[in-house]
Amino acid sequence: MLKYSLIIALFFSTLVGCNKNLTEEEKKAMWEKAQTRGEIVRRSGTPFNLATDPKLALSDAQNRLRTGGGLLGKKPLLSFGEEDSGSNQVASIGMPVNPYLWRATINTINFMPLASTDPFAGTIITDWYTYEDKVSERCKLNVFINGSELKTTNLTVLSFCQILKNNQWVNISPNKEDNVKLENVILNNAKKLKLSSG
Amino acid sequence: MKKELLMASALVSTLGVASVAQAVTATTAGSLKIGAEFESADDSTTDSNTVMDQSNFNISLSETTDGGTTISSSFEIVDEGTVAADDDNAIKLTFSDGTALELLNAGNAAGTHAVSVPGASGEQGVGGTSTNNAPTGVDFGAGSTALGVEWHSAADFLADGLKVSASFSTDNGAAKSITARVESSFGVGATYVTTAGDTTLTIGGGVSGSEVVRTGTQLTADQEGFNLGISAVTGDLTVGVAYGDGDTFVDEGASVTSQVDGSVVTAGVSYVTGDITLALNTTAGEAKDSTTIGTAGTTDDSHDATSASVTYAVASGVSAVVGYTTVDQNNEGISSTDGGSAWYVGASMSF
Repeated sequence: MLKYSLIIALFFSTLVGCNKNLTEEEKKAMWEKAQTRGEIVRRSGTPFNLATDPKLALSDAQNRLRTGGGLLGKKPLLSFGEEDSGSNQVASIGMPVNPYLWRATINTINFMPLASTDPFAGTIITDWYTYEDKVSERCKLNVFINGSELKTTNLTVLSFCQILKNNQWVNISPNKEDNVKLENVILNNAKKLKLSSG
Repeated sequence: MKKELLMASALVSTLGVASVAQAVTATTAGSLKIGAEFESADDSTTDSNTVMDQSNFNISLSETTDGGTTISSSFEIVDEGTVAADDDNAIKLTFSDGTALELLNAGNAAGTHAVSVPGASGEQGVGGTSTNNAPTGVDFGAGSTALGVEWHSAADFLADGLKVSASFSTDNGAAKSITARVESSFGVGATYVTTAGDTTLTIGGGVSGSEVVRTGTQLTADQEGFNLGISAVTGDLTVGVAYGDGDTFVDEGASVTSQVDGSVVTAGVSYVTGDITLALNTTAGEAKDSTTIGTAGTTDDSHDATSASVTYAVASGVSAVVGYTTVDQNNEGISSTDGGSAWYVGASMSF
């Protein structure tokens, strides 16, 4: 067993590092073509469990990938709850972005001054904001709401921060973890708005 | 800024607990495969025709907590001809950082990361003697039990293009039967994906090991194995090859459990042209088996199969399949006459 482990560990270690300099989009596209059983099942959307019935899970996954999804496209036959219910669709005439995401974003970042908002393009851009306990740092947010459905892929938060150095504002690397946290807060606020709206 | 985020997260988490149960998403999905198989076995003068009817229905439940963790599970009603079952699935936790944890009915990480070599579609197959234990899948050495956990890293874990998993399962404590059973097992697996020009390369594999008991007695020879494979996708062409090697055991009924020390190599190619997918696969498995479990095998079994299929994507979720396979088998070192060939014509539907 130790021999097997060493062989495989050595094999992978020699390959690691080949993917430097790839952009996030390139890495995502690369994973979409990965050919292990787990990856094929994951991206196909099949509900069947690779662990308990691998033959069924793989054959259904390959059928879905080959034909572009299930009989009703990529959606399951019936859905009860959030993901595919009609109430997730645009609820306001003339507003092409999800109204719950829009309202939740405004509510969540209302402590920051807004520079511009465009409900038709789905963009909310804040002005620079400095927290009172940390006056040498300021941040602003760009929030993009991309569609009419209440789902995670329709929300993108980008933060930009600067620190004061020699009396000049200098950009610092964006904190992706904070962006994800903020997206989660907005998504959960949106979910609560939807639930409370009945 | 960070403080505001933390405050907001904490507030939402506190307020969100009550709403979780109301927001569970339930989805139904399933698959149906129906077709006809025409089998010409070498040991029979009469060809057989069989209607293959396999239907499966799945109900999934999922919910994302305010912390960003998605909790999901499902159950399915399975009817695969001779097998009709209520198949329970794992409880899966998917975290906001991309990692995931499967609890109960979890798989073996070595199997999860096995490369999926292109293979023929269809339900065609040729039966063999029950004592031919040559393996046909590269992860045949990976055992697991229902009481298991499997952890999956996020994509690009430690290095860009790398994903790893680890699994462990333990026996459920039921009374030991006369035949052997897996008492506990572990597995580790890894996938590395990279590009070379217009080609995407996937390298996957894993190692696994199990402790085996028979009538409550720990065996000296346990189940273990490894698999390694590589696949390349360039445009509409996919090629792959994988190899598996290890030890396992097979319950052959009538209180007979065989020790199997085997290896298998499989290679395949598929090509997509418009709505048509052409696939070709060859698999060669060999093993030495012994009816004294825990003792290395001495007699040779082999299973060599070549399969091909043409699949036509009729509509979203619907494909028509024509498949063919031919099989040669040896059992206990003797060229057996239970090989043959089989055709399949049918349809696969997913909803």
